Amino acid sequence: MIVKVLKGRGMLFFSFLVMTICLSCVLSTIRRYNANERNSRNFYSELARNFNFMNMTDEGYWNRFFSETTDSGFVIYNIVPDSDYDIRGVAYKGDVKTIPIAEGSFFEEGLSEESRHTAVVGKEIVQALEDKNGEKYFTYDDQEYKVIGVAGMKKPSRLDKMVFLDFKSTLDITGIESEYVLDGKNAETISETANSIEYYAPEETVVHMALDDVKTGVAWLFEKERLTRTLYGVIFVSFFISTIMVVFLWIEKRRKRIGICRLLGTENRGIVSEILRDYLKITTLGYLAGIVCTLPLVYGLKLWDIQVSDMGVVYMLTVIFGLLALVVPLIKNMHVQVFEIMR
Amino acid sequence: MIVMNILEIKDIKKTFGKKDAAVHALRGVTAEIQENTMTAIMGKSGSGKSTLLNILGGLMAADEGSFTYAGKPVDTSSNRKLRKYRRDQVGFVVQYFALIDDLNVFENVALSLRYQGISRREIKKRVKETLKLLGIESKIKAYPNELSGGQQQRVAIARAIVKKPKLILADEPTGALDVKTSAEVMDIFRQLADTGNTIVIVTHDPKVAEACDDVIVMEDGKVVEQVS
Repeated sequence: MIVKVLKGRGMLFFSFLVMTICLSCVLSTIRRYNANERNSRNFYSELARNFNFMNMTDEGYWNRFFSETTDSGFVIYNIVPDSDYDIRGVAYKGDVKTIPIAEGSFFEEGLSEESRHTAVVGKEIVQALEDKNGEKYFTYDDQEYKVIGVAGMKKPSRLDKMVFLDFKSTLDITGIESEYVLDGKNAETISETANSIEYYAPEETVVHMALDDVKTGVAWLFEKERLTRTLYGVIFVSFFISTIMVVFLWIEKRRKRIGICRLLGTENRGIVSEILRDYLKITTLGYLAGIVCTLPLVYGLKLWDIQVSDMGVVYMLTVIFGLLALVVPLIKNMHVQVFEIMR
Repeated sequence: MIVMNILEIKDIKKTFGKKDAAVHALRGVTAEIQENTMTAIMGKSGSGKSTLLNILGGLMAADEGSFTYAGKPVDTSSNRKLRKYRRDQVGFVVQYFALIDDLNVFENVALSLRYQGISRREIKKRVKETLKLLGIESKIKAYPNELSGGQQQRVAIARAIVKKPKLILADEPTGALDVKTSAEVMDIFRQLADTGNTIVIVTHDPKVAEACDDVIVMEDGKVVEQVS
């Protein structure tokens, strides 16, 4: 049956086989990128900006900032220099992605006294915690911090070795003229918040804020960490275009068959349904062959990020893209004149 | 014996193109074709014989005039109705066989029956019977490129008759065949005519016309002679 279906349809089958392989690789790369994205940046987004204060005279600046600013969707980290731990204070406002929590909870929004001397620690830090009356405590610089949550992801990451303290406690450690990182849900929010930080600072204070370095357009596509995805995307688009041409040729080859069916008085819906059935058979065979060919790549290139659900997505995309390619040549060839095949 | 006309053609006209580029392919064709006969339509190129055949086969509608099939007017008001007439009543045989290269003999012949709501078992039975009738049942799994010209034409004839039409239209069916094979094909048509079919053949070949019961001679879009 397989040989029979493939007869005369080799190019189309091969196109779908290759498209399946490409799509699988692209999906795996995207998935891996998403998983590694924050890990590679110490869990800051690519939009995060460093800043610090010079000549900050207002010790209550952050209380004032958080209570008065109308900005929302940002998070500020206060970096605590330490050779043993990666410690940062966290304060956020609004709906913003902070860090994934494996157990317990994260800090409350804003700055509050209730959050004083609390901590969220990574999975590896949990082993070094003290247990008091059924609660865990992290001790740093002779101060105990009650652990309210454990940060972590399914796979090991840098998060496992990090410690997050409530923002006010870290100000006690570093002072207000510290190193900070501003992050947020999008470039616009970060930019607005950066402006607000400068706005609310006393006149004599100098805010050293890193410049906005977000690339756009073609430069964005070819940034180093995005390059592999971009290349896979280009390869996929190339194969999609070639699949369009192959589908077009396949339908053109059926022109005579369509004409004969019309000579025999077959209704258009009968002709179209036969073509679609044929198309689905070839797509499915090409897809299955593509999956088989992808398996060595999975092991060879360690594309462990491919999931079973991705295979369903790949199949749907392969079928849908092919159907899109089918529409125009099918409509064109359905108008074939029967006389073309009579002579 | 009462002889019925299977086709009665009344003043059929057909023009292609418009204004100065108009070609009057048929200028008022009137003729009658008796059932269970072989009728040849002869004429030079451009005489309108293929156009007439295409109209009789429901491939196109006439601009004016009408024809009846088995005593009933053929409705040519829509493509769907033409398709239905063509599907149910007519078998076509063309000069270059018009077989599908990636289907084998069985599949090519079965194509006529595929979309008619007939069961697979019945299709298999009828295809085998038809191939046996035409003496090519041994080639049932062969592909067209494995067959000779005469065998391919037999397959084309099988495809035309498997749905048991009363009317078989053939456009230069021997045009691509040698003399011996042409004679074999004409013998097949004769058998079909003798067993209840009506064959209408468009041809240039006088020998084909000689083998027919009636000859309609066309010239310049009109019937100039009808000879029995």
